[in-house]
Amino acid sequence: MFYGYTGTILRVNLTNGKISKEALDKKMAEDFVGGRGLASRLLCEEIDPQIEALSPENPLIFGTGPLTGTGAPATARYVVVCKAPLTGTIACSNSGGFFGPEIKFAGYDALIIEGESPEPVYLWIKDERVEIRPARVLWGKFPSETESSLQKLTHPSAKIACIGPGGEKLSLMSGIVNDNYRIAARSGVGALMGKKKLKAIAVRGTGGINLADTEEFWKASMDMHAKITGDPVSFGSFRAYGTTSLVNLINEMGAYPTRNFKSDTFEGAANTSGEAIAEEILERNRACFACPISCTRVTEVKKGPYKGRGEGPEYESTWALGALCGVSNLEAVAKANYLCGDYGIDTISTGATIACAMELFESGALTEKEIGFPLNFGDEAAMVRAVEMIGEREGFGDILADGSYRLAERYGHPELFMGAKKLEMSAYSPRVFQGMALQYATSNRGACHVRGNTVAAELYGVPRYMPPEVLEQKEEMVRRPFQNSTAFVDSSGICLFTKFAITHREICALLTPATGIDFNFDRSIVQGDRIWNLERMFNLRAGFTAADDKLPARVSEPSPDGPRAGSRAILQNHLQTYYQLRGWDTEGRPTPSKLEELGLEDWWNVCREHD
Amino acid sequence: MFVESMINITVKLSIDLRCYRPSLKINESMSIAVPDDTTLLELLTNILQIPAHAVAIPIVNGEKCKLEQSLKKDDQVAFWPPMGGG
Amino acid sequence: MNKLEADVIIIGGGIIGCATAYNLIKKGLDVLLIERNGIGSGATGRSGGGIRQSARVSNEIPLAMESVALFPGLSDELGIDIEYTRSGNFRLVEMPDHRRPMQVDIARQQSHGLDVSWLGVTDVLELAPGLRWQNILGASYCPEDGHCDPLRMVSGFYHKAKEDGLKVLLNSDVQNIQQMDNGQAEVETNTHSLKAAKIVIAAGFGSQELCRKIGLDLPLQNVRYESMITEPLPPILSQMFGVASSDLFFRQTQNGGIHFGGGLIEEENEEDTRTTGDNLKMAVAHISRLVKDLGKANLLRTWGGLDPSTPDGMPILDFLNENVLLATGFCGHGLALGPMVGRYLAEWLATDQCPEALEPFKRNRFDGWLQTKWTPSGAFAADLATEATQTSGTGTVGSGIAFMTPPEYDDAESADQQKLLAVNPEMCTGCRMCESACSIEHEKIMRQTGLRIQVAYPSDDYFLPIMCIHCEDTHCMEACVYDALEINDYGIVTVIEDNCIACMLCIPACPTGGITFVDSKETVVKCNLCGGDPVCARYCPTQAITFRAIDTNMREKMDDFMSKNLDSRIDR
Ligand SMILES: Cc1cc2nc3c(=O)[nH]c(=O)nc-3n(C[C@H](O)[C@H](O)[C@H](O)COP(=O)(O)OP(=O)(O)OC[C@H]3O[C@@H](n4cnc5c(N)ncnc54)[C@H](O)[C@@H]3O)c2cc1C
Ligand code: SF4
Repeated sequence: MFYGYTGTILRVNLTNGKISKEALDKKMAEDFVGGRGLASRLLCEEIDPQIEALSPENPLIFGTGPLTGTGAPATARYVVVCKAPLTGTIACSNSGGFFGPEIKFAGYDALIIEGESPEPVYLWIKDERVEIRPARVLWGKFPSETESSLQKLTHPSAKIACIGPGGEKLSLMSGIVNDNYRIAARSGVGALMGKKKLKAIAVRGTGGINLADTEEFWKASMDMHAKITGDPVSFGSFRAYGTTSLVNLINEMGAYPTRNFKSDTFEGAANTSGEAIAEEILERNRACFACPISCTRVTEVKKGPYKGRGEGPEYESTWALGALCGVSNLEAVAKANYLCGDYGIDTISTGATIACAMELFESGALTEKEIGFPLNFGDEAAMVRAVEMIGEREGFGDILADGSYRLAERYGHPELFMGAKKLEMSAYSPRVFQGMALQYATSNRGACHVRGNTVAAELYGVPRYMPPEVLEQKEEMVRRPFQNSTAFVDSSGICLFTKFAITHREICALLTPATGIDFNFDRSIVQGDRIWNLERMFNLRAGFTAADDKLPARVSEPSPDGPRAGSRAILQNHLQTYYQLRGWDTEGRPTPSKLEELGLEDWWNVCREHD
Repeated sequence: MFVESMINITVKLSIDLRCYRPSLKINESMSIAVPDDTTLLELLTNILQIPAHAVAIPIVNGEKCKLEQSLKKDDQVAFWPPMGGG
Repeated sequence: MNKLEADVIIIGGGIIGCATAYNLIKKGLDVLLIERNGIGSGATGRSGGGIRQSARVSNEIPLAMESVALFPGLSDELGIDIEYTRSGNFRLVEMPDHRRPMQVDIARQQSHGLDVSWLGVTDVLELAPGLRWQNILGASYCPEDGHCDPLRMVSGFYHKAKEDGLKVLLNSDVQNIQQMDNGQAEVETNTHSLKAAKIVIAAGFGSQELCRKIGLDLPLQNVRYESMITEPLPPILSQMFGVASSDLFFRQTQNGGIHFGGGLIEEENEEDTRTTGDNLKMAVAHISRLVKDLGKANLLRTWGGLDPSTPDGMPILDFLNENVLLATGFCGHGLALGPMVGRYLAEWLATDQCPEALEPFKRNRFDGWLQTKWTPSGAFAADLATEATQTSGTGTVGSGIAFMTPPEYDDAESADQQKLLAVNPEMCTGCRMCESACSIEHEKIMRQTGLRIQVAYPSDDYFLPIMCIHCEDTHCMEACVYDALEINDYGIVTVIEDNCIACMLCIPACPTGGITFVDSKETVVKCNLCGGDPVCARYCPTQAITFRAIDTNMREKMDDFMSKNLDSRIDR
């Protein structure tokens, strides 16, 4: 009998329509926790990382954590894991809302979707009953329409994850949208779903999640509830302003990348700040399943050319579609953000790609004829137009839809791609935050901020303050309290945003009574490390090397202006120390003894292959 | 004769702290003159009359600093409540 | 005496009473003013005439700025020269120890947008050559401040209002105010009984007594200020002057007299307007140290005046009950505020809505104050208070997030009041933590169906937790033929599981959707308030669900609300 976990994995083959259920390997669950860890482990079992990402062999895995849906605070997360169409690395995008818990209530820890359907289909999961149904009528629809249609076709309370037109058209920046507005966005997981011709998954679960020790679990939940609601960050600025409360702060620090990272301060930041959103377009707060924080904000632009309604924009979206493109019109940014939601594409990559195109255009590498209109920094109408074109793959949008790496390469300026491993960086300048520089360079899915958001330490002082410019000990900081810890948190099913109020100890205090398995602080650190190393091995096998742990040359040059003028990202020696601390060789490969220590021996030959 | 030493600085209040000066616009900074050995703490409690515990991130010229720090001429001060995000 | 009845009765013919009357008349209301002696005979006519924004506590600065902005136009508006000069206000610093606190205080005022700055002694002398430099270190200087003739000003308001129809009762002493059943209040003077819907107490030193008549003991303390004036001298000073950490003030009037004084004498006897030899001598000695060539001037008159003070140096402007609005406690600097306060009070009386600008002056800021002894303090000492006593600090700016502040509930529990789960959909974020809590508590398993509480999502921004509201009609009990539902003495409806055969007739009978069937149990289940400490209310992070005493009014609202939201019932 399983507690916390449901104990069942659902496997659906879209090529031959076969549907099967498998038992969860308890040992595997203990080693990899669940969610991100477990799904990654399953992926490694399914495929050779060297396969083509956009191919029927590449399965799409939806994973939940043991805490997902248990009703403990902020337990709404699910992950999507596959080989990433955008980057070729391992992909793990995660999202909240109500979809993840619904999978658990329907009785599954993970869904493995393999093969490729010849016709558009959707998956209807009603507890143990699973059907592949035709989705011709849904094809081309926006997520909101898809959701309401599907709720009519299936069950009024069914929860839906689907792709928008972006995913259908295989945009490498597309994600998977659930509950209308939430999106597992990065790495292009939507393109794989589109490739499989799987428009949507509708789930309805009426079952329950067993808890090993209900009383203990309830006590731990109440304890966590008190900690979160007593915390000035989780229950203060997050609730009032969502993530966008950061805009003015990061800009004040001169760490707000602007105009494709040409500068680090944006003069128009205040217009697109959390305060401006709260005053101008905010309608109300919403929460994900069982979340006291409720950082989601429903917003609406009531009139004008940018009329629209949706959720967000979040901090990163405001930045990518705003500062990065030099746009300071809040309504335009909000509109672009709504459009990204409609088309189901990643706001960060979309904004970054448009910014890259803007720079190409201004430098003359791209002409007005090719684009169809002038695309200058700060031109909000052009930015919004470009988002639409990307979503539709219309005209020049066809080229933009594959992300900034391919765009910059194509037009002969690879140096204008601002990211690592083909994934665009996010809204914390690596010139200023040295921890973020190292994190962007070494992150397993490319330059992303949520694999190890060291800004917590380098600015807010969580778990302890380390000034952003300082280099000493940053390697250890990036490795343990951020990358490893995040891997564990993502795997548990709890939302990363709780981390301002709680630590692994509280999460373990929930996991143990929920699952009946002994989770404790020390083991959680090893579990995080194991997951990180597994992902690294996947990437090495997929052909990545230490040479890919790098940042664009631009950020190693001094920041041109703002309060931090002159600061720059310093990676070199850093990287070797980091490898060493990780127990990797100078080429950034885990040593056999490290793998043995983590119980990943079966990956030895991957290391040897490269020797 | 005394040398009168007042220094000009600018101050910005953000997020919830804006309720202490509701007339300030978003990200607007106000310039005030303070005695030259004023510390950030004194600026907060005596001049702005904002309880120190409401402020988690004091930033002077783009750098996070301690409340004991003294102000210099033309410093750009910005105060932030506890923050986090992604 | 019916002809003297009015929409509004104002008690007190000082600047506050007259300015309010003037503005009400302008709005076309029918107003009666009652004054014990003569117009301006209280603090107003006895005041120093300083029209300043500087040296005020933080929360008063915006109001003072607005009010001072009205002064340049007042003479024209009122049709009388109020002798207003905008020549600036100094606050002189004499002692080294006071210099830095003054500079800090200047910075505080600047941070509220006031144009005030620190001037060294040379700069001070340049602007005010009549001062003696030997005893001055520097000063705070606010160029937009000034002074006027208080008696001319108050009579201006009074006469203009009277021209336009203000009714007046002079030499009438108000002795009592009573609320009546018909929603009006009655004012009893020594000669009349007068009724009106709204009464304004602007009786200065006489206000505390009237508040007590209404049964309210507010922290108001009458303070006596003493002042005097010299024979006319050639013009030597044009500004208004105050002194840091002393209560001395002085100015030169238009006819040349040097008008100066100070005070801070706690006074219980409300009519005591004496002057005392010791105080006068001190004031004379002090001003002679600061102003050149005063030694030989003759004093013409001396007088005292009373103005009530409050613990935080700001007036109380608030309704005491439905009918009575109090406006007093100006702490010795209300003259300058008068014109604006008059406007706002008139607006409040006419619209029944407290103007935003007057929010900081509500009396509830002193809740609990009377238990502690307090002494009135001079404005400067209050300014220097290190703790921010004045800021609300709840941390919500902008209308968009106002709803995140939970409403205040009166937790008064009385025996005859039922405690129930009250729902506020405004606060609900749709997180379903209440469901989770209910599931874990009652089902010992986590699921989302068959629960005693469920959250409905009628739209993407409206969420509503639904559970049994233990209504008075008990439709479910009527529907049940097996006696499986019972209601206890507290009005709580519960299921007797042994009797329930799960015929489910009660489920559609319940208008709120409060009853569900659970297959594992083979009975229906419904909320039983967890036996007295409902977990959903404890787990709800936003206080959208609260467990609290419900009065009949609330009860009706809930019944009404729930039955209207029938459509939002969900199929779980
Ligand atoms: C010496 C002195 C100097 C001052 N200097 C300044 C200054 O420089 N600048 C400044 O801004 N302020 C100054 N003030 C303060 C300012 O004068 C007062 O705050 C302001 O005038 C108060 O106005 P009021 O209408 O509330 O009260 P008052 O002017 O006192 O009016 C109250 C009226 O109510 C009447 N009354 C009382 N009880 C009753 C009753 N039961 N029935 C009927 N009528 C009643 C009284 O007779 C009186 O006329 C000074 C005050 C004093 C005493
Ligand atoms: S716990 Fe509170 S906020 Fe959350 S759904 Fe229930 S009532 Fe709404």
